[in-house]
Formats: sequence, C-alpha cells, structure tokens
Amino acid sequence: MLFNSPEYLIFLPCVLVLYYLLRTRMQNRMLLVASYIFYSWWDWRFTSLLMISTVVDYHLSLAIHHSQGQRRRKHLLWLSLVVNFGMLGFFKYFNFFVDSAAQLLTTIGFDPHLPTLRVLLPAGISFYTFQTMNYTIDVYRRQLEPTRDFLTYALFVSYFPHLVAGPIIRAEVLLPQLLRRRIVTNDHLCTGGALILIGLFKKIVIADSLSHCVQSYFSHPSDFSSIVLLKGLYFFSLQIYGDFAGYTDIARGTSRLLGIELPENFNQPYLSRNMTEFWRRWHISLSTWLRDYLYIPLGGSRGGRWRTYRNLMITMFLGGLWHGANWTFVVWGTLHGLYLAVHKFLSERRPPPEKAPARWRSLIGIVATFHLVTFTWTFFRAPTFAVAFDYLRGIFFWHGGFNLFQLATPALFGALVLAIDLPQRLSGNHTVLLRAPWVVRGVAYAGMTFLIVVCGTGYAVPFIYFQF
Amino acid sequence: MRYLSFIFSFDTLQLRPGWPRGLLLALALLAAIDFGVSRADWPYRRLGPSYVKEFLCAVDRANAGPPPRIVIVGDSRSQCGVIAGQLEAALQWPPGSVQNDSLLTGDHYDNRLFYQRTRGTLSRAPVLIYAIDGFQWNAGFPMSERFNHFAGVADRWRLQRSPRSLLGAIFRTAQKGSMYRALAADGLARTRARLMGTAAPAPPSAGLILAAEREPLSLDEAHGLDPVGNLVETWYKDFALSPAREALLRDILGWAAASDQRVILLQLPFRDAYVAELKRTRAREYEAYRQAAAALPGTELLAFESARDCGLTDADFLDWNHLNKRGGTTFTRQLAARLLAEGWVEGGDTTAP
Repeated sequence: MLFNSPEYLIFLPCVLVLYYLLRTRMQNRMLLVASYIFYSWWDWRFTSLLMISTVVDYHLSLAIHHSQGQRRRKHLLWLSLVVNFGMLGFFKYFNFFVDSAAQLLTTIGFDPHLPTLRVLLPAGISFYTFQTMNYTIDVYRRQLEPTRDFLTYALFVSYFPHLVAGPIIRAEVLLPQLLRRRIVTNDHLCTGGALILIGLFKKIVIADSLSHCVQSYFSHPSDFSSIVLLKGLYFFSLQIYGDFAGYTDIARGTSRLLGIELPENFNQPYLSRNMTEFWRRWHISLSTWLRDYLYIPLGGSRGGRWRTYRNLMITMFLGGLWHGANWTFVVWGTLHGLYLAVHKFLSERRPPPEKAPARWRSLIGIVATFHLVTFTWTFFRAPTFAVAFDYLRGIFFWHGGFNLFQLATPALFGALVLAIDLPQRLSGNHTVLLRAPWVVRGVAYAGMTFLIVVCGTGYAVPFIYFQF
Repeated sequence: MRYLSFIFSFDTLQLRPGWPRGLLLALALLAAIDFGVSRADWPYRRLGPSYVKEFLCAVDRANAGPPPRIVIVGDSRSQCGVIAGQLEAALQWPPGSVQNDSLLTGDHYDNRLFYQRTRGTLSRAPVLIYAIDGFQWNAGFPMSERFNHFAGVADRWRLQRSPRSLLGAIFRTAQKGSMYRALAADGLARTRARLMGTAAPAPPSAGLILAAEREPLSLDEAHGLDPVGNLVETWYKDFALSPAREALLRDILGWAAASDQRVILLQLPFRDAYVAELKRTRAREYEAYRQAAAALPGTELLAFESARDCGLTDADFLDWNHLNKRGGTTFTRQLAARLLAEGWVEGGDTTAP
C-alpha cells in the first residue's frame, strides 16, 4: 500500500480509530496485524520473508544474549548475518552478480552460460534486513538487551510507517516506545497532520509533477538540447528529494499520530555547505547505519589519513550498492566516497576558521555542493552507463542554444523546496508552520491541499526508494 | 465487562478542548473552491475543449431548438457514423429534422444525464436512436470523464465503487489539474490583455469533436494504428454485465415510453479485422452484451456488425471502429433505407419538424 494512495486514506483512519480505543498491549497487536496487511497489499507472499527475518533474528539475538562463550556468540552472529545477507543477496543481487561474472568471463574470452532467475524484489527488503541486523549486532556488542516479547519485536521490524522505505530505526529508539504506554495529545495530532500534509506536498506537487519530464529526458538524452538536459538534471535532483523526504515526512507524521516518534531522516540536505554536511543531512538513518556498522568497524579515522580515505570509499561504495543491483549505483556511491575523502583532505590541510564562515562563503558552499550532488545523481537515475554518459555528454558538449527561460521551471520548483526548507532550517523545527498565526496556517493548509489535489495524477505514483 | 476493559481503554487520546481555527479556515477555503469552482460548470464553459464542455454545449443546443423528428444519442461511433444532414437528405426531410447528440465516450450515465437535462425537448421527438456498444454494459470499463464531474456519492457507490471514485466525490479530481491550469492561463491572458490595452482572448467555443471530417484513411495510416487486440481488450477487459449501468438505459427507455417515443437501439459496423478479433477473443462477452441489449423491452434492435455486410471497406474508417466522412455518408444512407423499410419513419415529408 502506498502512502499516497486512496487505500491508505481509508486504512490510516481505521487504524487510528482502533488504536485510540485499545489498551497498549492490544494496540501493539493491532498495529502488528495492520503492518502485515499494509505490507501484503503489494504481494502477500513477501510477508513470509518478513516473518523469517523476524523469527530468525529474534531467536538468534536471544541466543547471543544468553551465550557466555565469545566463540559461540560470534557463530550465532554470523548465522544471523548469513541469513539476512542471504535473503538480500538472493532477491536483490543474485542476477546482478551472475550478469557481472558472465560479462567478466566473456571479456576474458570464455563463453559462460550462467543461470539467471526471474525473481521479484520484495518491497523494503533492504530496509528491514538492515534494521534486524543492527538489532542483532547491538545485542552481540552488548549495547542492547534483547526483548523477550516476540510480538513487540515483530512490530519493531514490521511497524508500517517505516517498513518499506525507512527511516532505518535503532531498536533503542523504537522498542522502548513500543513497550510503554503512549499518549496522544493535541500537539501530536497537529504536528503529525502537518508532517503528512508537507510530505504529500513534496511527493505529489514536487516529485510527481517532475517525474514524467525526467523519465522522458533520461530515456532519450540525445534527443534534447543541453539546456533541456540540464533542466532535467535539476528536475531529478528536486524529484528524488521531494519523493524520499516526502515519504519520510508522511511516515513520521503517521507515527506521530500514533504517539510514536520516528527520527529525522532529512534535514534540509540541499542547504549543506559541503559534502560531509550533506551526508549528515541526507538519508540520515542510512548514513549513520553505515558509519556505525561499517565505517567504524573498518577502522574509521583511527588508522591514519590514507586508511580513513580508504574506509570512506569502501563505505560509500557499499552504500551505493545497497541502493540497487547496478554498477551505476556503485559509481554513484563511489563518487560520493571520493567527494568525502577530498573534503576530508582539504579540511585537514586547511582547518576550519574559528569564526563562523562569512555568509557569501556559505552560499558558495551550498551552491557548489548542490551542483556536485546534482551532477552525481546522473549515475543514480540513468539505467545504464551508456545513458549516463550520453546525458553528461549532452550537457558538457553544449548544443541547441542557451534559452535561460528553460531554467524557469526548475527555479520555480526549487523555490517551492526552499519555501519549505528555509524556515525549517532557520527555526530548527520541521513543523515551524504550526507557529504561524492561525490565518496563515489556514491559508497554507488550504493552499497545499489544493495543489495536492490539482497536481495529483489520479493514481498513486510509487516512491522511488521502494525499489531499494 | 471486565474482558472488554482488558481490551479497550480510552486514555490514549488526551486532548485539550479548543477550536482548531487554522484547520477550520482551511476547510472553509477548500469548500469554497470545491463548490465555487470544482463542482461548477462555469470554468468548463469558459475554457477550451473538454468532455464536460462538450456535454454542456450539447445540452444547450438541444434545449435551444425545436424538437427534431429523430434524435440520436450515443457515443463517438454514432457521432462519426450517423451524419444528420445525410439522414435528412435520404429521408427527404427538411434541415433540423434529425439531431445527432452523441457524445464522445458517451456511456449510459452520460446519455441518461443528457436525456434528463433535455427531456422537455427531446422527448417530443417521435424517434430516439440510441447507439449501443459493449463497453456501455461492462462493469469493468471505467466511467466517463463526465461521471467524474457530475456524479454524486450515491451514483459513485452504485456505479463505480472504488476508493478513488468515492473520494473523487469530494474533490472531483479527474481532469481538475488541466482545468485549473487552463483557468490560470486564461486569467493571465485576460489580465495581460487588460494591462496592455489589447483585445481579450476570444473564448474557445467548441467541445471535443472527433476528426470525422478527415479524408479516408490511407493504408500507411491504417498500419500505424494500435493493434486491434488492444481496443477489444480495452472494451471487454474484466467483462461483467452491469445491471446498475443497464438500469440507466432503462430509465431512458421508461421516459421514452412515457412520451410514446419509438426507441431504436443501433450498433454501428466495425472494421472486419475488429470483428474477427472480437469473435476470436471475446465472443462470449460480445454475445452476452448483445443478448442483454436484445432483451430490453419496448425497443427495436438494429445491429450492424461487419463493415463488409454494409458495403464498407477499411478506407471508410478513421480507425478500427469509427467511420470517416465517406463511410458515415454511405452508412447513413443505408440506415435511412432501413428505417424506411421497417416502417419506423416515413420519408418524403417536407413539413417543418
């Protein structure tokens, strides 16, 4: 079920009414059932994977917790990792690795006939396997005491607001909230509702409005002039932000209506002054996961300058691969690793000024970071390298004149994004709108709802990150 | 009771009393837009071609003139295939005796609404020709764009019980995006004209009109059509006879009977390839619809099927199922001959309608 579908508009109020009537323990059971209904809306068969992941990690984490011998604990952890990565690898990466191996063998003169499978990618598998893995790893590290309450654990894994596209939540954040009694106040309802409205606005008015143009430009880049391709790149940059941040806002808003707080996943990333800051603001739950469970175990910045750069590159390489089974994602991730390494190198050579940087320097940093990120999205969006290079060639080898008017539409959509992000950034509050006088709020709610209705395509456009 | 209190508790919601003024203002503004613009007809009248505008123009036209002797109601196929002037000529009737009020994508809902709004005039026509097609009976075929605009909750519940359709009753979202964009563009153009002191842009007059006036289709163009199977599949996908939709047609028949109006159900011919594909893949569904139409009380059924049977060729069609001007002329003459032969009308009368 999609957050932007009419089905969800019926599903959510039903869940909320039931939820507000039940006791805490019953609430959890009802939420668990609702989450499985929500997930099985795509394909009920995928729920079996969710169940397997839940059951395996629940029992293994308890076994790890109760085991005294380090060797046995390590074996159990490996078993959990093998099961989780095995599922992820089979459903997401099997064909990718087989195709890549076949291409490599063909390149060196063999004629391989390797099998490929026609398997559907279960929605959100990358998200919930990462979540169950961090639970088991935290138990292994003795940073977390596993819960004995199976139903609550199952709800922690399958909790529908964040099930298919995050945020990837730590057990220490979500589990205590699921175990205690929740209270929903006016504040929860107001901020939750506002977040859902802002999320739908980002998704439908910004992301979906741009998706058709982006699809068309990236399908046949050679048919378009340089300025149009540049426009398309700006469009995609805004589309993916609107799409993913919109999803997160709806997820957080929904959860807040249930009295459960989900962490921020986006914090005005396009207002970042450098790449390191960008990754502190973009898909925060993934970047912190990669930092805590990959970058730091690899050695982090402890092994000297070159090891730090290497670790950054490896982390972002795998971060790219996490997004999708395609080498274009790997290049996208690796480029980001390179940017992070270069930024680290530059900031070590030139320590940050003690005083706050001048405004114009911040502005230049924001513009430069945005353009670097936007350029790199080419590899994320293009289905193949050939298309990506065609696209970039089309921009860098300028042709077709310079009609600045073409950039008016990206500027308009950019202004919409800025109109949401800038007040949030200045106030440090995602629901700053609620502080405005009631007349302004009323007009803003009506305006956003009106645009959502008018820009709605009549059918629910899937979120980009669902494919991951 | 103890068991119930184990399950239920009302202490999760702890709300302070007070009016959510911002929310109420937003709802009031949205209601004003919804009732003042979205549900109103004036934006469609003011803007360019749309399904709703086509309908409104047809209603105005029908109500403005004297009642014709034959009124034709139906879909795009009858709009293209029955040429009023040709029928008048073939029957030797004066101009204005035949009125073709067929609507693009006209289904039973559209035609019932049209008849209802023009009943004062149209029920006085002695003959009603109602063009029928399989999709009008198919519960799996989406309702028309006019349904999205005009239908209330009760109609939606009865005819298209999907969440999208039911929610559409509140905001009536179909084609609203285009309507508001066009409305904004129109407003800008008028403002600019006023500021520049130039003439305001002329309001577009026409509704949607299919290109029936086009010349016969060349072979190259015919090869460029979608595969015929697509059209058959579109009309008969998830086929199930819809009693609710048929009831709309029965309403028309009831009104016609009350006015002593003769009703002729007319199926226009298709290209031969279409008929072959239809009988190959959807013969059962096609037969079911034909039987349902034949079973309607108080009607005459005039079902043409294959182009060849009517002396038509592929060159007489715009596409798989719409006749072009030449095909329409040929077919209309045949229709006139059939009406006369059956004794349903009398030709040669030159008195005004």
